[in-house]
Amino acid sequence: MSLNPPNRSEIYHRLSLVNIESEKYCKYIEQIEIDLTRTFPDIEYFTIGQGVDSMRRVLKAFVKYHYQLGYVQGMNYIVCALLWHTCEVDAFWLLVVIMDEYKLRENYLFRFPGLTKHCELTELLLSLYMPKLYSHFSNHFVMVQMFATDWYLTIFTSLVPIESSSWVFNSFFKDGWTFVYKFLMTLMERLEDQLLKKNDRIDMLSLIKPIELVSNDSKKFLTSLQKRRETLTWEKLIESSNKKNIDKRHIENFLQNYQMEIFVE
Amino acid sequence: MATMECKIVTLGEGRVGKTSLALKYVKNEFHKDEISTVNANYLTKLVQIPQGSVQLNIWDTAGQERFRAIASNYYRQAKGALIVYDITDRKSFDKVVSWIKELKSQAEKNIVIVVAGNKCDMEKERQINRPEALEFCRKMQIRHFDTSAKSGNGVEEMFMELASQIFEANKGELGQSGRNSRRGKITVEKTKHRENSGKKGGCC
Repeated sequence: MSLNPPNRSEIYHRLSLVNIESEKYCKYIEQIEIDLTRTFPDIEYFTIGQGVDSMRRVLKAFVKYHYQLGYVQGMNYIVCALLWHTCEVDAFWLLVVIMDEYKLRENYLFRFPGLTKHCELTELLLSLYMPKLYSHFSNHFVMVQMFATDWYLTIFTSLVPIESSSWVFNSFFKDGWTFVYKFLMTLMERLEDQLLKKNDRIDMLSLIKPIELVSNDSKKFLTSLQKRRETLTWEKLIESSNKKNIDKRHIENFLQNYQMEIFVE
Repeated sequence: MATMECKIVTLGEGRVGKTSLALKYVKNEFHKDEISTVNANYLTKLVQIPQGSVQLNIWDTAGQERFRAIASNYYRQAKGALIVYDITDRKSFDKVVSWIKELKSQAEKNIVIVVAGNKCDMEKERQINRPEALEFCRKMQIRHFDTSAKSGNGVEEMFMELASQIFEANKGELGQSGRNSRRGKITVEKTKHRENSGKKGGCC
């Protein structure tokens, strides 16, 4: 990992000494403070525990490191999930790697151009591998962006319970965005029959994003993905999506011809 | 009787209580520590009003500035908008003006807007005078509600008012297409085909 320098601990700690005084910086810091305790409100570590301070330090350091990008909601989930599994310094540098090497940064730019790209590519894959569902979505004006935005901004750390998020990271570090597409398709496959029965856009959207997810409760959602006589876990789900075969050429072709629009704020 | 189906959107600064209000109304739930919304939540509720029934499809949006740039993706085709501010936070009230301006110039022509001064259970920390807020909304010809997602104060009334104003504003369309509709259910969202064919990308 080229972005993980040998003196990474020192650099991280030095960032905390950097002082920035600008309106833009203050806005980011304000938003970070707002989000600290409302990312995982059910986990004490991130509400009254040491996790709050770690989270604040990592996010602040990241804003200084990536001043142009700043802090955007969604990053808070990734940081918490990383902090759950590793120490602060590593969490920071892994965040940098995810943002720069894995280009998650593009998703967070003004008007979210990377997100648009990934969603369009997902729609292409749906049309190729799940044509029935794809045309059902099109007929009812359901677009991937409507339900995948937070999943793609947080690489599913806002959905998958924090204790299972190491599985997400492992797969993402190994397969990059291909994992993300595969995982989304796995979810869609398991919901397909139910979705095809719905003829109303909001019914479909609330099946994919049930109300319980508003309060981080993904248990019921996981149950809705379960097949008969099956006990599903997030780990099994991730494993099954890793086994999924999709022709990488579709992805390569798409990306080769894709021109991402970068907007100026 | 036909059910009118319509999309409404919640707008406002971060942490003013957009999700809490929607959740209180739809599920009668209140969580002290609500999680921050990234992207949007989808909630739906059937409302009975004296004139008929309205299915409110609530698109509950994220409040951070960066998401504002894509807000039009959410309020496109919306028949109603709920703009929320926090009575203990002056800045959140100042943002209401710009939301109203944006909706009036960008959203559907007859979009119904209501404003909620939320967290009215925290009267002691109030930063925005009630008369000031009321006067402001009166000038804009928009209904203002004092709400508390915590106690439930004003929440039901506000959504009822929103539903009945939307019903009034769109009942013409209900009469026309209601006759042809199956299951007595019609969709008031404007001819989707036309809307969608001309636009590239974005959601809805």
